[in-house]
Order: sequence, then structure tokens, then C-alpha cells
Amino acid sequence: MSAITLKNVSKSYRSITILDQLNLEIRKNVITGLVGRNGVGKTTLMKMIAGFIKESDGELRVFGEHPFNSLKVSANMMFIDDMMGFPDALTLDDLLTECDRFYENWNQDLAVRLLEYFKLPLSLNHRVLSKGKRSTFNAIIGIATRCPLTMFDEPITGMDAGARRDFYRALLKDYIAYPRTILLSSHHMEEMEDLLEDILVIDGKSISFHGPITELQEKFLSLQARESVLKSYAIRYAVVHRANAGPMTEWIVDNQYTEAEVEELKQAGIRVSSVSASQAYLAMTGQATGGVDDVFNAMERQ
Amino acid sequence: MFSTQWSVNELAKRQYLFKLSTNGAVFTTLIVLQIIGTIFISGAGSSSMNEWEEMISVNYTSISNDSQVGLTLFWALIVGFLLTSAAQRNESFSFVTNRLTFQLANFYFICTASLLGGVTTVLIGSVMKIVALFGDNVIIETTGLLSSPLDFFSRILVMTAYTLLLMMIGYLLGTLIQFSKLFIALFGLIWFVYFTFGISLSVGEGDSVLYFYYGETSILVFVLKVVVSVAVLFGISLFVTNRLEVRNP
Repeated sequence: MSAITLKNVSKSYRSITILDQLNLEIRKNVITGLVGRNGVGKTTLMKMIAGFIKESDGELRVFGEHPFNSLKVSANMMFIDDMMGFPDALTLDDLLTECDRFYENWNQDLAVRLLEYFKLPLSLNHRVLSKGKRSTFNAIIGIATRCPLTMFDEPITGMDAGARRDFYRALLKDYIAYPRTILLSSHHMEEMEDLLEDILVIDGKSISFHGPITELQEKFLSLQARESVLKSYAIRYAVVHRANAGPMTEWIVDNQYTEAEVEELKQAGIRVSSVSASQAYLAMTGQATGGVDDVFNAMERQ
Repeated sequence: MFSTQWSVNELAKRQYLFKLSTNGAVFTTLIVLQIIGTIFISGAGSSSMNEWEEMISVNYTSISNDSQVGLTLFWALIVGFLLTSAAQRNESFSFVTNRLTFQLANFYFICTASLLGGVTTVLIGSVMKIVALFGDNVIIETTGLLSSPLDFFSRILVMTAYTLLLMMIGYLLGTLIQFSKLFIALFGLIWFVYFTFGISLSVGEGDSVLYFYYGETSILVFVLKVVVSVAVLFGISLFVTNRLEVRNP
């Protein structure tokens, strides 16, 4: 059963296309991680699902409803980001009361206890909170509303390491107690990968991977050996990423090797291991290559 | 599938209550403005005259709450405009709403605010009478709640109607500007054209748009005119906002 369905959905502003022809099904009651580099349209996708902005083309359904202007979707959906607008006139306590007014599954007790744990006094105003505290407050709202569809867009902006760890833990615990569909976007894949079941990688206006996190890991292999050894043996498939660490060189390669071929690599003295999800993601989106060096090298040459 | 289902009415009501609790400053501002109007500029509305006839001299001073009326109408225009700000919209869309319930809640809020504006402006007239009574030791000749209640309530009704109208105009202007910044240029142009050529063109009082309202002698027809105008203004706002994308920098 899918919670969100997209068929050929595009979004463009005038001549700029942000998302192009997306086809996607997000499973119900699953935590999906939404990752991708800056500006690939993660937030745009979430805002379309939330019904804040309208898709330019295609068919978008959230629980079978078209989200733009749908009260049903709005009432069963929570979208958390660091741009959330809360009225200046209200204290945190007042804001909790407003949440209670609007969300049927709202758990006041949980919210108050979490605020207490994160040292957020109820008498404070949302405006005076620091960046990290504000993110923490928004995240608590996201957890305590217990909406059937909860989306977090960069929820950990500004949070310290302890707060981030606690947030992921709190989210997981409440999710286990009250399963719901959760979309979570973050650039810190290594921190959230224990939490995720599915992963959705957006790259260059379209989806480059969507599936269980283990499947992403299986797409790549890590090969470690001396560079000369790698160059003579591991030539069969594309190398996604090269790194030198001491005498050993690590290559991350497309995992298309058959078992016999892997055995062959091992015979040659290459250490073959699986990659972590975040390594796979970084390799996939070209963030592991250190390509920005080329810019400075080119400037030096001039 | 859906654990929660709201009706449009129920949500518009909840959004309205939310608006009331977050926009308390709007009412405080009104009260402050009226106090300022009473203390500092009420003198401007008063005029003193002497008439000489034979041996008797008659001094009469007319006190009016025109300045408060003006300030209230000004306040109404600004409040209507501010209700369409991006901040107001984002606050509403942080909670459950769609564009229709958001607009309805704004409309309820505008009705509430204009009723309050109408009532307080008329009542401040009574305050001024008391001030005059203590200050100048004069005899007040006026219609009040007890001497002619119908007149008193019709004043409240008319003041509320004008406040509502001004607020809706401000609201529509704001909505259009939120829709496209090009409207700022358009309104500027209209304003310029009106004040350069408009005044010289209008011959009699009957030509003016304003005369359509203040020239009306029947209170029922006047109320009808205002209601229809407000409905049209709100209809346009509703139409324009229905496709508006929110939380979209």
C-alpha cells in the first residue's frame, strides 16, 4: 500500500525545471530518507506533497487525494522545516495549545516532556530561540503531532551532536509505538542511516535511486589494495570513487562482479568489502570525488 | 486511511480562533489610536463660532469625533492590508488549512475587527461628550443611546459598514500585490492619474465613487450596497488566492 504516488510529475518555475517527470511510490508506514545535493529539488518535492505548491504537470496523490487545497491532506500531514512560521505573539506553551486545536492525534504530554528534556522553557517566545533550539522545537512538534504523513526537511539544522542523536532516537521510538509514513531529508546520511528503511536519492531533477537501504549498499563494492594491483585487476567495471589512504588505495566500483570474479579479485590480494549507505550515496552523487580541487588547480596553472 | 477529517466550516472556525489569539495587537493598536485621536487631535475637529444679533451673543462649540473616525478608517485599511502578508499566511499554513478556510478565517476576523472598530468609534463620541462636559461646562445637545436608541445603533451600523468596506479594500489590495508585485505599479499609476486628471474631470458630486456610498439616504439600501461591495471584493480575493503557492520563497 503506497501513501504517496507520483506519475510523471514535473515542477517548473517559468523556464527553469526543478523536477522532471518523477515516477514514485512511497510505501505507507515506512521511514524514507530523501537525499540529494543542494538544489536538486528535495524541498520542492516535499512542498508539493504537502500541498503548499502545485505541480506543473503530472498526477500527484497523497493517500489517494490531490494535496493542493485538500483539507484532508493538510489535516493528516505535518511538514517541518526551519522556515516554519509561528506567530510572534505566542509563547511555546500557546503554540502547543494551537497544535492541540488543529491536530487530532496531538500528544500534549509527549510534547511537554520532550520540551523539558531539551531544556526549552514553555514561557519562551519562538522568535527568541536560537537556531538549534528552534529546530529542536519544530522537530518536537513534528513528532508529537503524530500525523499519518510526517515530513522533516533538514530538521537538524543548527542542532548540536547530542540533540541530533536524541532527535533521531525520539523519532524512532515514537515511530515504533505509532507507525506512520515519514519522509526525512538531511545531508548527514551517516547519522540517519540506522533509522531509514527506504532511501530516495534525487540527482539532477530526477530520481536516481529509490528502494530499501540495503539495496543501495549492494550497488557498490569497496576494493582495497595497492594502486598497481587495482589497476591491473579491477578494470572490468566503472570506478565511482578513488581514494588514497596510506599505502592502500580504495576504489568504490559498480557491483556487477559475479561471485567467481569477486573470488578472482580476492586471489589477487584485493580486500573486497561492502560499502555503507552513506558511502554509496556520496559516491553516487559525486560528492566523494573532491572535484572542487580542479577549480583551484586550474587557477594556479594560469 | 485518513485519521482526521475536518469540515470546511469547522476548520475556518478554528483558524479564526487562531487568528484572534495571534492578532491581539490589532485591537490594542485601535484603542491606542483612538486614545491618541481623543487626546491630541480632537481639537482639530472642534470649531467655535460666535453669532451677533441684537444684544444677544451666542457662543457654540461643535465637537466631533471626525478624527477618530478618520483614524479608525485608516487603521481598517492598514489591518486589511497586513492580513495578506506572507508572515500571516505562513503562520496559518503551519497548521491545518487550505486556501478557502484561510480566506474564510480572514473574513471572519475582518468582520470582528470592523464591528469592534465601529462600536468603539461611536462610543468614543460619548467619552468626548463627558470630557467636554467637565472641561467647558457646556450644555450638550446630542442624540444618545437613551434619547434616541435607533439613531445610536444606526450610527454603529454605518460606522461598522464603512470600516468593513475599507478593510476589505485593503485586503484586496494586499492580496493582489501578493499575487504579483506588478500591481504596486498599477495602483501607483491609478493613484497618479486620479489625482492629476480625476478631480478636474468630475463635475458634480454624483459622479464620485464615494458619493455612491455617502450620498445614500436610505440606510437599508446603504447596507445593501456595502454588503454587495464586500461580497465582490472578497470574491476577487478568493479567486486570486485559490491558486497561490505558499511557504515559497
